[in-house]
Amino acid sequence: MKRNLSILIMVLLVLATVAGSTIAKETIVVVTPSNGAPGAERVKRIFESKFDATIEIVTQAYNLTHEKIVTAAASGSAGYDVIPADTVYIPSYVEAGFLTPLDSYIPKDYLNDITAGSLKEMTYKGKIYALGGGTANKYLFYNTQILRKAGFNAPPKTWEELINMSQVIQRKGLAKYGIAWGWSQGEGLMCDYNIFLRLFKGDYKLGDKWVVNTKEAVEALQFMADTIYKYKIADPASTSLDDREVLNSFLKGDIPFVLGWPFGWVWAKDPTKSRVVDSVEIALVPGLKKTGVVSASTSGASGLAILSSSKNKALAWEYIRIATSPEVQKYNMQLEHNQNISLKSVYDDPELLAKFPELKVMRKQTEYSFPRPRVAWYPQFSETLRVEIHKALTGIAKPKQALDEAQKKIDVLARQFDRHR
Amino acid sequence: MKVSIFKPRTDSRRWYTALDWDKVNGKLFPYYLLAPSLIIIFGLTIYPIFYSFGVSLLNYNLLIPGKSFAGLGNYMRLFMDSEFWASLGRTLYFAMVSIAVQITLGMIVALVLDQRFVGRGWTRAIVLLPWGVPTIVNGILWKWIYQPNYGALNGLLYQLGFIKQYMQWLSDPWLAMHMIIIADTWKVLGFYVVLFLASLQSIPSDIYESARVDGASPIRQFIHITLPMLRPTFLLILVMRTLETFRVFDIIYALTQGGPANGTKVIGYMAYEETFRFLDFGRGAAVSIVITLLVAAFSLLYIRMFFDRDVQFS
Amino acid sequence: MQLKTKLTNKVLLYSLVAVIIVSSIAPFVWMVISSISTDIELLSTPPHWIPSSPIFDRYMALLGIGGDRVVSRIGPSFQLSITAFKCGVINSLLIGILATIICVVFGSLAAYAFARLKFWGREKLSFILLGTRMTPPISTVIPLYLMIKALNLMDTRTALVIIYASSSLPITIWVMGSFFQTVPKDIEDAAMIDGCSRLQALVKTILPLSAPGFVAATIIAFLNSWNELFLALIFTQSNASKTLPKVISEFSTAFAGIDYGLAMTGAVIATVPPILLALLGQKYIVKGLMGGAVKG
Repeated sequence: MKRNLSILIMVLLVLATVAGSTIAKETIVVVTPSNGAPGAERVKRIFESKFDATIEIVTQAYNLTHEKIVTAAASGSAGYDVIPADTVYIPSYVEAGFLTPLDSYIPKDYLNDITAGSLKEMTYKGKIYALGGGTANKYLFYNTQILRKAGFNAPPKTWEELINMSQVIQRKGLAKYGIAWGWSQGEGLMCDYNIFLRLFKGDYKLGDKWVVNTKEAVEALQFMADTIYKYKIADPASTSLDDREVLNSFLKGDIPFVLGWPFGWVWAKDPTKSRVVDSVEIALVPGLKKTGVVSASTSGASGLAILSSSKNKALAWEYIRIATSPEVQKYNMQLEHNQNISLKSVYDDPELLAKFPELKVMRKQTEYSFPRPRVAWYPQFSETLRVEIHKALTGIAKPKQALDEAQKKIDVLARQFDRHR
Repeated sequence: MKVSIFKPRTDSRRWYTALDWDKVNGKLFPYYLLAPSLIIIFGLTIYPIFYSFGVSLLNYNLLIPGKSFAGLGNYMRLFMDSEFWASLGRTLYFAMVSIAVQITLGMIVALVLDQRFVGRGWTRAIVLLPWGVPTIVNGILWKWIYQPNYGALNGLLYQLGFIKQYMQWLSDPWLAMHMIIIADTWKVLGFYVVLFLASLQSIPSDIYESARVDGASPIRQFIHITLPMLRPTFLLILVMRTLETFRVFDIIYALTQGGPANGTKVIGYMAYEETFRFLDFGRGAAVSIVITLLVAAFSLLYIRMFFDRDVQFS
Repeated sequence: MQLKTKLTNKVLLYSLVAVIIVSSIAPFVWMVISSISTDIELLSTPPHWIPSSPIFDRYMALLGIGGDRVVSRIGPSFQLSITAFKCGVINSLLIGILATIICVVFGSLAAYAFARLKFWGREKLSFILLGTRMTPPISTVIPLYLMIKALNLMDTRTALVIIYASSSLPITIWVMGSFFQTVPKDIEDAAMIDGCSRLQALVKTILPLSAPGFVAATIIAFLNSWNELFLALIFTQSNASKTLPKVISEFSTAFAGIDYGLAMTGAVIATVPPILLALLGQKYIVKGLMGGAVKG
C-alpha cells in the first residue's frame, strides 16, 4: 500500500514537471533604452505572433545603459538575452567576453544589404557583434532663411566657407553667432572632436599604441578653439551646453548653423518645438579646404547584440532579425522618423525617399563617418581626453599642452589595462 | 539561614530558584528592543564598510574578467594620481568656502530675524522653505537659472545693467565651483539660520540688560555676549558642513557632472565615477574607504566636541 | 533726533527682511513661472518674467489629467517621461512610507533602550550609532550593490525600502532618543507601579508624551528617502522602482533632451510634499536635528 502510494506520487511529480516545462513558454529578455521602448513593443508583437515564446522588455535610461549592462553581465547571470550595443561600447563588451559573434547567423543577402558605415561600426576585430546599428551621424543643419538674407543660396562645403559665411551674417546683424557647439564636458564634445580630428587627417592610434597628441590632433583642437576665440563665429556659451541644449538657439532661429543628430532633425520639424520648421535644411558636415578632406562625421550607431550568457541564442537571433528587418526599419521611419537605418535597400526605398528627401544626404554622410577610438576601456579613454580638450576650449590650457597631458594619463590607463590582461 | 533537612536543595532546584525570570527578562529586555535596529545597522552599514575594504584590496574591474588580490595596489595608484589629490583639494575648498559663507550669512539673517517686526513668524517659516527642496530639484532649478542663453540670472543682471554681455556661469572651473556653492547655500542656509535663531533665543535677556546698564554699545554686546554664546552652534555647523561635503553628489550630477575641465569633481563624485561609470570596483572601493576614514576622523572630532562629557543622549 | 534714528532703524530692518524674503522665494517663483510658460516664451531673451499666456498642460500631463489630448499638446515625444513621472510618484510614496514605518517602529524601540535603560555595551553602541549616522552612502554602496544583486532584488522597491530604512535609522534613533529623555521618569514609574510591564509603560505613557519626537522622526525619515538620488541612480532601472528624484534627473540627461518647462513642472510637484512637511514640522525637526547638541 505504502509502496503504491510512493509510486503514485513519483508519477504525479514526473507528470507535473513535464507539464510545467511545456506550459512555461520560453522568454527572451530584451533591454532597450527608454526612447526605444515603443519600437521594441512593436517588434514584440510581431515576434510573439510568429513564435511560441514571449518577449520581456526591460527599459533603461539612455545615458546609463552601458554601466547597467556591464554590471549585469559581469556576474554572468544577467538574465538578459538581447542588449543594445552602442558602437563605442562594443569593444568593451567583447573584450570582457559578454557578446556572441553574429556572423554565423547572418544570411548572405542581408549582409550585402548592410551599409558599409554600419558594418564598420558594428564589427570588432573582424567579427560582427551587433546588427541594425543605424548610421545615425552628425549632420550640418542650416537655416535657409538667414542664409538667403545674407545672400547665400547653398550651404557651405568647407569650414573655411562656413566661417566666412558666418562672419558675413554676423556683420549684417542677421545673427549674433554663426554656430553654437555642444561642448560641455560630455560625450557630445568627443563626437565633435572626432569630426575635426578626421578633417585634419588625424587618428587615435600609431601602430599598437594609443596616441592622442599628434600634430594633427593639436591642429584640430586649435581649430575648434579658434571658432570661438579667433574667428568669433561660435557662441562662447558653447563650452557649457550639451549636444541637446545647443539645438535650442538653432530651433529658435537665432543661429544659422548647428551640428545635429537625427533626433534634432525630428525636433526641427516639430512645430511645438521649432520656429524653423520651413527654413531648416540638412547638408553634409563641411570638409576642410586645407587638408582636402571632403567631409567627416561621427556615428552614434547602436545595434542589437546577443549576450554570450543567453540560453536562447536562436530565439534571441530571431528577435534581432525581425527588429532589424527592412520592413521594420521602414515602418519605424514612417511612424516616428526613426532614422536608425542600416540597410541600403531602405535608404533606396522610393516611397521613403519621396516622403523624406533628407535620407539622401543622410546616406551620403554615412560614407564619411569616422569611428571613435575602438578601445575596451572607452569610458575612461573618452573622459580623460574630453577633460583635457575642454581645458583647451575654455582657455585654461594650450591645445598642445592639454593633449600632452591627456597622453600621459592615457598611457597610465593603457598600462593598467594591459597589465591585467 | 535555615537549611531544612527534609528538603535538601538540589543543584537543579537551586538553579531554578536563583533564576529570577523577571530579572533575566529585565536584563535582556534592552537587547530585545535594540535587536531589529542593530541587525539592520550592522548588516547594512557596518558590515558593508568592512566588505568595501576587502573589495579595495582586489583588482576588480568589471571590464576585465576575473578578480585578483592587489594588496594596497589600488591605494598606491590612487595616491600617485594627481586627479585624486585635486578632487580632495576641491572638496576641502568647497567645505571651507561654503562654511565661511553660510556661517556669516546665517548669522546675519538670524540676527535680523531675531529683531521684533511685523510678520516675523512667517518670515522664519519662509527662510526654511528652500531646505525642503530635493537636492536634485535644486540642481536642475539652478541649472536653468544659470543657463547661458536663456537663463534668468543672465536676463536679470543684463536688464539691471550689471553685465554688458551674457555670462557663461558654468564654463570656467573656478566660477562654476562658486556658482555651485551659491546654489547649495540657497538650499541649506535656512537650516543654519534656524539653528542660530534657536541659540540666540537661549541667551538669557538679563545678560544684555546688565550690559546695557553698564553702557555697552550694541556692537560690544554682540562681540562680548552674543558671539561667545553662539560658539557651540558655530562648531556644530562647522563639523556638520565638513562632513556633508563628503557626500555632495546630487547638485554636481545635475549642474556640471564634474566639469568644466573637472573643476567641480569633488571626491564623492569621483568615487561614483570610478565605480559606476568606469566600473573599476577595486579602485572605487579604495576611494570610498579614504572617504570613510576622513569622515570617521571628522566624526570623532565632532563627538569629542559635543558629547565628551556624556557620550549618550545629553 | 531719537525718533529719526528709530525710523531709519525700522526702514533698515524692514528692507533687510524684504531682501531675505525675496532671495528665499525668488527661485521658487521662477520655477513656477517656468513651469507655466510656453516653450517659445521660455526661450526668449530677455526672459519673459510674466508669461503672457500661461499654460497648465504640463501639470495636467504629469498628473494624468486630461488624457492623450494634453500629452499631444506638449509633444508626444514626452510620453515616456510622463509615464515615468507617474510611476516615480507612486514609487517614491510607497518607498518613503514603508521605509519611514520601519525606521520609526524599530527606531523608537532602540531609542527607548538608549534613553531609559541601563545595559552592558550601552555607551559603545551609542558611539557606534553616532558614527553610522555620519557614514556617507558611498562607503557602503559597493557591498550593498553586490548584496542586492545576489538577492535578486535589483530594480525593486524592496531594495530601496531596505536601504533607505537602514540609512535613516541612526538619525531616527537619535532624534527619538532625545525626545524620550524629555518625558519625566516619574510618569513611567507611576505606570509601572500600577502594574504595567515596561513595554506597556512605553506604549501607554512615553509614546503619547513624545509625539513631537515621532513627528520629527517621521518627517526626517520620509524626507531622506523622498529626496535621495545617489542610491536610486544605482539601484533602480525601470519604472518598476524608479523614484521621483531619478525620474527628474533623467528629464535633464535622458536621450529625449532637456525640456526645462517639463523639468520645472516635475520639480514643482516633487517639491510640494517636502515643503509642506518642512513647514508643518518645522519646530520639531529643528529640535530633533539639533539632538541636544545645542542646548536650547
